[in-house]
Amino acid sequence: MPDPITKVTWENVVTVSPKTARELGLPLEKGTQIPQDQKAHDGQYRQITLRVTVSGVSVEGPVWVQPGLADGVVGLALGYGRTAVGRVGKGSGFNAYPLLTSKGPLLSGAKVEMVTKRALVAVTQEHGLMEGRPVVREANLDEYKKKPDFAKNMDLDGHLSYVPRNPDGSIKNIYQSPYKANPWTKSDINQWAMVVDLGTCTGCSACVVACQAENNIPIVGKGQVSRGREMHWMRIDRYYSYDPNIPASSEVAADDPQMVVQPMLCQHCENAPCESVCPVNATVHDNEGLNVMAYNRCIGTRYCSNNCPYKVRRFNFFDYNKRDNSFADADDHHFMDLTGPLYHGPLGKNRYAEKEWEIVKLVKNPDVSVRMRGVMEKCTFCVQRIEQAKIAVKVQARDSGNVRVPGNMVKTACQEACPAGAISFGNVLDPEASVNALQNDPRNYTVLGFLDNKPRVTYLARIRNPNPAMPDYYASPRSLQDYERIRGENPFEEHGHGGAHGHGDDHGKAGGSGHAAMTGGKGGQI
Amino acid sequence: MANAAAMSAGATPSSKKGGAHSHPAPPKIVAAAPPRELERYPLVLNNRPLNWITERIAGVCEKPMPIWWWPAFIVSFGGMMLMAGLVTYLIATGVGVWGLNQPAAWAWDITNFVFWIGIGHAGTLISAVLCLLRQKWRTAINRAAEAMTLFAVACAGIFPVVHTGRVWMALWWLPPIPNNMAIWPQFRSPLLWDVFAVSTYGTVSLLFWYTGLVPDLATLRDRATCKIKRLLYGFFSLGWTGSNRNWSNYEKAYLILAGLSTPLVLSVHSIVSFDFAVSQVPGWHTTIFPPYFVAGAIFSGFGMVLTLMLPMRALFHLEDIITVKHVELMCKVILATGSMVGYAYGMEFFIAWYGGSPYELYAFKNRAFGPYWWAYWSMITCNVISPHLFWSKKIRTNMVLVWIIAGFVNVGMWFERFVIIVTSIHRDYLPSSWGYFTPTWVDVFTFVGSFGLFMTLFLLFIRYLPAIAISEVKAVTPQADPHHPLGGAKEHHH
Repeated sequence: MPDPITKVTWENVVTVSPKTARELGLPLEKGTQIPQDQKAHDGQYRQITLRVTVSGVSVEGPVWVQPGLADGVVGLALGYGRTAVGRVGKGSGFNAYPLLTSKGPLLSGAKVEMVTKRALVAVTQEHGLMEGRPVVREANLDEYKKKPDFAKNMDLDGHLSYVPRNPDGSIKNIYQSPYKANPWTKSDINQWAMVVDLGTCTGCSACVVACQAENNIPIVGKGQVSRGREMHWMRIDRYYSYDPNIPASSEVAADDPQMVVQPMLCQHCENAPCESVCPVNATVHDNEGLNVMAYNRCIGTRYCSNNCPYKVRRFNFFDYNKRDNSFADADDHHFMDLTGPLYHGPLGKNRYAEKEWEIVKLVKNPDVSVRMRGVMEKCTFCVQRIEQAKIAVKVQARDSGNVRVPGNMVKTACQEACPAGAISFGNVLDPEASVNALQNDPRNYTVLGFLDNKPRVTYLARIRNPNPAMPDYYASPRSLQDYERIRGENPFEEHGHGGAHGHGDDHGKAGGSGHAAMTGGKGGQI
Repeated sequence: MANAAAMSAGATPSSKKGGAHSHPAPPKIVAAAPPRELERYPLVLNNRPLNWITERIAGVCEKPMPIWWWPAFIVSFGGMMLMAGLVTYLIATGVGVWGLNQPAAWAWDITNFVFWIGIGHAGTLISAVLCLLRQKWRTAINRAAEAMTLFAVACAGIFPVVHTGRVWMALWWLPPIPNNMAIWPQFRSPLLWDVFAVSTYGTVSLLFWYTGLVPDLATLRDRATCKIKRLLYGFFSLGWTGSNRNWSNYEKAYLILAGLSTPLVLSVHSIVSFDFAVSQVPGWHTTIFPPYFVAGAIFSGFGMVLTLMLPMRALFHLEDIITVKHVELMCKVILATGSMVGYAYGMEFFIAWYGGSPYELYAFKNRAFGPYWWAYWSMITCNVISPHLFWSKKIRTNMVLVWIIAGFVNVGMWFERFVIIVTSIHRDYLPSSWGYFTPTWVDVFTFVGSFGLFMTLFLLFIRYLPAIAISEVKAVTPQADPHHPLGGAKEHHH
């Protein structure tokens, strides 16, 4: 699992703040605040190794420049670099315990020096800035009070007035929304939806682990992660926002960041862009609002993944279950070095044929298929739990015919694991379902709603409440400032009435139309 | 034998003249040679007789191959075997042996596909469109260009098939075969349209090529020096006798196939462009793509025709048939289509700004100034700057320079597809998913190997089949024109 903040997998790193990194003389790349060469020409992170010495004892590990870390501090994670742990732990990270004394985990007087060696670090997220895109939407409490539904007034959602419409006001697409084109395919018993509250999500990533365990998601090894092939169906996107008054190219830009996180998973779009491009009908919609994968039908063109604006689809580039994906073999040069058992193909060992598999397979959830190579997979909304619930309700209903699954009965694995209760899931046709109430929350919005994909997953905007008495008080979250600056928009004003910044060249077409219908409107997408 | 080339009503001037007088004289058939300034350049130089044409062209595949043919063939064959080996490795092991990842789920595979299918457009354009437009200069180059089309389509067809995760299933489920589950392919998917478009194109191109070959195969049959050759050429020449009925049927079939192929020239690459245009990805979702892709395909196709034809022309001494004028005309096609492609590049940027989508705008900025800037500027250099060198007649008539520039066109068009595919998907909507694609050596050598396949087929083609349409070239000589002073079969027998 990737570290919730650094997104580093398989090992621990020596974290230092950008300012400290400068003071240590690490050659930093402008704008990105990663050590120069850290991200080499082929997209791999090859980190300078640091030697940390405290009271004469030293450990070595790859450096990771972590915006937001206190200056002058070196962060080391314990529990890595184990030597007697078997395959899984072998070669992952370095052991930081030698530094630890009976004085506790906070040590002072560390000496840090650069070692010429570089080490490959595998991360799951390479770009940490939102670039002014309102993916995560947030506001301060005062702003929220001014316009509670500000989040619906962001991105291009308010700029759709020129788009051709159907008589009922919905956007006219080449293909009509499937449930409208064929109303009989839409169940009037159960319809599933999820709401994620960004206000409560802490980014702890427990959901990612729960999802992996529930859905038999294969472990791919460090080498594959560094090639960008992690398989997690659910991920926590972490974005920094830097001080908008400092140009991004400045070397001090990342010294004092704000950070937001966002759980991202298959959005189960009603007008799913993945479905219409699959040549063999391997990804289709069911009658309860799920975008389902027929693994047996999938031929692996990967077109669905290309056309997914959320990039939540995951492809089995290898037989990750059948083949031995040893973890320590992260290759260093990705062009030439196709070593490691995964690359041996049929000449490598077949884990299914080994005795050990009898034990390994007990780890798998028997209700979920184990996928072979060459097929695409993604979040199913824990369809196995939904099916179990439906069967249970049907058994209970007997002759009453009341087979509707109660709104809050099904809990997805991520939802169950979330300690903050940020994830709500349920049957929106049951008025009691908590998702219903949350979808009516003014903070509710759809990521990339302007694409008219009509996702079944929506988000509640995050509200911050900084103390005006504090020196680092800000009137508006930085991601919002970035958005306002880059897009020239103010979500607290209606479109078409001439905002403070006016409408830039990019948005001239939206003028004079009042506010357009919001695709992420309350409950409107069901 | 000249195949009914009497197409213009040549008798009109004299009959008009005759009509002006009171007692009409019988109209004279023999027309005077046109005034010098109106005379068209000859399509076969040095007033070569018909027999010379047969000897020269048939001679290429009848005489033993020159020494250079063997090393060229061995290298090409090695390349083909390399590709076969790497494709086997890919299918046996998994798509992961390529450098693909999330978000770049397509890269070299589809780049190579579009590259090859684009090259395959010149042949049909030359044979079908120029045939319908009565461009007689096509006859010197159409046969080899059509062959090139077929071989390019063969190369192109391999990539989208083997790039799938489960090839064994793909070949079964992509064709619309009725089945007991009542599951059909997804007819909304551009990939399925590709399956139909490319297979139709391959089939029609093959038929067109073969139909054109029949009279020449008969010529080879008649000239065959051994029994095996006679039997094989005889079998494939379908009992051709050169009778009027044969020619009449042939001309009709050829015209029908030209008519069928012409829309395909436009449709195939339009459909290939739909793979991108129909999607939601910024940088792909563009209505300009169909015409832009078609222009680019013809551009790259002519680039490849020149790349192959110029050495062939020099090595087999075909300068009198593939004249400098032919090469110049092809350069002009490259200039025209290259300008269209350059216009499309500019228009894409304009629309990205004018369209008002910040995502689209970013995609284009990222193309030119993002991590793949080198690919973008390679493309611009090769595709926008180099064709404009053809404004100069000096360059157009310098065969070495033309060959070099045609090479740049080939390189540029490969980069164009790479730029469109990879720079668009490597950074799309959510910045958290942004990534970078790096090829592995398997990517690179599979592509290199596809050139081996292409060249192997092409070398075998010039070894065994007439690389220039003998009968068609004869039909555009003055001897074939009964109204020309040299016309009719007066001086030379076939």
